[in-house]
Amino acid sequence: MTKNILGISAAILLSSCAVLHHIQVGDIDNRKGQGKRFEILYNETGVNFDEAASIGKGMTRSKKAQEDIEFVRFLIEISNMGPRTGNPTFNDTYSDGLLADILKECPSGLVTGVTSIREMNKYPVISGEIVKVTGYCMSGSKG
Amino acid sequence: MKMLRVLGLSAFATLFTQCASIQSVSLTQIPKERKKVVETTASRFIFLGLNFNNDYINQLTDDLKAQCQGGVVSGILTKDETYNYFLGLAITRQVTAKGYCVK
Repeated sequence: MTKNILGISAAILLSSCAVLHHIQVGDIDNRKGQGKRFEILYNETGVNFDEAASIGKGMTRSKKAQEDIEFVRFLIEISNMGPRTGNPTFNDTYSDGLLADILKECPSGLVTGVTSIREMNKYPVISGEIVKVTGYCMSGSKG
Repeated sequence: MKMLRVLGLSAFATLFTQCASIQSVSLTQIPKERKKVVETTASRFIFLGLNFNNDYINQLTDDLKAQCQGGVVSGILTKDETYNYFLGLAITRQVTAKGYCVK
């Protein structure tokens, strides 16, 4: 029993994992000095239904219950087909306020060196789906 | 039997073959002037899938800025690659950003 608890605890502790899905470095205007660095981060909870179903099936000995769980997993999987990065989230508009947030960080609008990062912090069953944008805000007027 | 042994050895050899794959690639607008090339790479060796942050990529923009003082870095090709050494248990994630410095 102790060995099982230790094994499960180790698996949980070591299962946190940062996964990089996509990165894009934008043009960098270095003519007017360093600029002020800003970072905007959006985080939404994702769910790995495969892992949830596996754990659910492992927690029951009833074959009927296992079949029901497998059927639900299948329904959810076929309802979420298509290319994606990371796990499905219940809200896919969590990063829609990006432009407004960039203008809040940089009222002058002179933004350069924008790096867009899509990454995931993976935990058992759930994950943190992260959209991160970093850049430099240059002072001065437009035009 | 000999055939089986050869097949087994071949399969075993492929396990130790490095396998490179591209996760993502992007390109910004390419400038007319392309004399000076600036490039930087950030990588991390990941063993048993244990990677607790992606902070190694934070240096990319600063490295490019340092190589192009007083200029504009444009036409940036960003490549995110994975080098798989052994069954996905030992990999290197490498991000390369290469562009042109225009002054």
